[in-house]
Amino acid sequence: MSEKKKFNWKRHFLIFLITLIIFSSGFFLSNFLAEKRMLQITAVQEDLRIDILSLETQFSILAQAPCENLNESTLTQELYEISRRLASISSTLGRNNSYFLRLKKYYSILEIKHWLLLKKAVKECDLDIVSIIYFYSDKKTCPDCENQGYILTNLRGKYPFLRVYSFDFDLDLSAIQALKSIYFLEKNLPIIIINDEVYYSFKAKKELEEILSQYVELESLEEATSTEESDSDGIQP
Amino acid sequence: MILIETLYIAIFLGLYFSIFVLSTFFENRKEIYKGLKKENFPSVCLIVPCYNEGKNIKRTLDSLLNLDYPREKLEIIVVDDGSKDDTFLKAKAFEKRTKQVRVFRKENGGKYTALNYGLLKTKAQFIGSLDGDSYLDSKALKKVMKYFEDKKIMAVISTIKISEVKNIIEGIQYIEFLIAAFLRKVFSILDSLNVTPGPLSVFRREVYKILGPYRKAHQTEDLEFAFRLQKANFKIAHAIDSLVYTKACPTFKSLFHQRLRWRRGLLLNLKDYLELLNIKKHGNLSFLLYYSVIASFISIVLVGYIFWKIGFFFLEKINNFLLVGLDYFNLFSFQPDWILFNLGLIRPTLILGFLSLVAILTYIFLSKKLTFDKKSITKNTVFYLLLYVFLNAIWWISAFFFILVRKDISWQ
Repeated sequence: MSEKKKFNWKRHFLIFLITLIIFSSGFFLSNFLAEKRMLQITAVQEDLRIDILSLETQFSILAQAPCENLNESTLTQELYEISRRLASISSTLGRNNSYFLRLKKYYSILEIKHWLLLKKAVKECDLDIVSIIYFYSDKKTCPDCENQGYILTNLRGKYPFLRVYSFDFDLDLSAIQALKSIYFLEKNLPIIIINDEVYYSFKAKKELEEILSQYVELESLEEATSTEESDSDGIQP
Repeated sequence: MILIETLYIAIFLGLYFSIFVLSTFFENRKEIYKGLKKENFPSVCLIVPCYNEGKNIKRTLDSLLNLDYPREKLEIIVVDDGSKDDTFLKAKAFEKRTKQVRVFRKENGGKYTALNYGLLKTKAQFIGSLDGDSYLDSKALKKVMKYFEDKKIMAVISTIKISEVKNIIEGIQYIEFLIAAFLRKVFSILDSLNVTPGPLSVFRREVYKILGPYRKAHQTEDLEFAFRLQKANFKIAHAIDSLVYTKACPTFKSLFHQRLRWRRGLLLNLKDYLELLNIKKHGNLSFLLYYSVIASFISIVLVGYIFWKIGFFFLEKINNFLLVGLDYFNLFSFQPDWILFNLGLIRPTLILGFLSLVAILTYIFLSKKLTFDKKSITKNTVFYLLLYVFLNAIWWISAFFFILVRKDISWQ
């Protein structure tokens, strides 16, 4: 056998090492870019925190809801935008990534603050807004959650008077525990709370629309706002 | 998920192979072309086996007579393997014109029988073969013969190019042949070529004396003969600058049939020559043969992964439709987060897949440069990159299937 035909183990080992380095670099680069992206989300969350604080402060200063100047829909859009970005992060880094979980906790707190503020605004400014709190979990614990999330996203796009706040039932966060305890929630997922009324297990689109029709006249609102854009992946980060 | 893991294995092996091939090429880049120390013209006989090549034989023989090689040293033997068209008559016309050409006719028995028939009719020191649908560049033979200055070299193959591209199928083959030319050069540097293709391969006469004539070899006698040479540790070189032009398969059906024959032939001949997989005995050749079999499995899994993803995408859309009814926004929305990226987040598959793409484009670029190719190939390259992986998987699956059900295939 000629020298060149011979299988040179040393050479192949070296090539293996080089391939391994290049291969790992691909993963490192991908993670590096994902982490950079997370920093951007942190910044957006900071903005939202400031906006919420600012609105809270407005309420406090005026000692009554500044109903004429109230523009909570911008805040809602910011909230949904974060949710959308978080969803994309989770599919890249995995739902159990520690940094992602931190961001998710922070996001959940912002949601609760937003929800509280909205409740106050609805009461004081007499707004026609319905808030939905939605508890979900991963596929194993709750096989229907993905579909439920999709329906809620669709409804949210269809009826702009809807505000949907989604929470991971298993997220280890005291604020979520508090939320669960005030509604005496059992783990029978998915759970939907519409204007303080708790509904357990999967609800089809029609069922939800029927429930919603108890609070508002859906048809008139749908017609008035049918041009609103819907988000396809906002409910379940 | 086993499919995504296979995708990573595929990328890893692809990168490994590319680094191996490119590093070998650049280390040996001074040996790519063969310089000539002293002009020497030994006698050469080129056998042209043909079956129903009436449309092509004139061009083939014209190109042979036009070769830049001393006439008295070049003999052309046409063996008509029982054609049903006017191949024989057309070839005979050449015989009348010049003594250089001799034409024989025999009963149809397959390409290998035509080659063996030709072998019996010549006493030349070097014997080559050229398919009846191919034609040569006028310098092709001289460039091949330079390699025989090295006494250890027993066979030399040429670079095959697609003569004409009229549709996408032919365009894909054009790129495939470009890549093959580059890879064959690298394999020849490693003394590990595993094919002596029909369109111009030349052998020393003693090769046939020692190894015997061609065999049926599962309709891939050119592959089997190379395996036999390798088993005997005979050196095969690749004259990358010796250009042979051949017709591409014009339809998907004809291409499918040809590639099925090649892949089935590779697997069955490999089964017959299992000792070539002994890495201690056959070194890089074994490595490359292992690689080609593993790559076949990977290409099948890769295509399976793509189809699984496409299927999943449609199932999801149907599921969503059932959940919320017709929702135009979601129906037409496309989340490109499958394997590559996700809302600006780059996945490892994108980065590593991009590197694999760079490797393939490097092969094409280098091959184009080394074979003096001036044609614009952008469109063909795009089609190759988009479709080849699917075609290759179909050919491999079919080859495995034909072997499993023990189904034979015809040469044509």
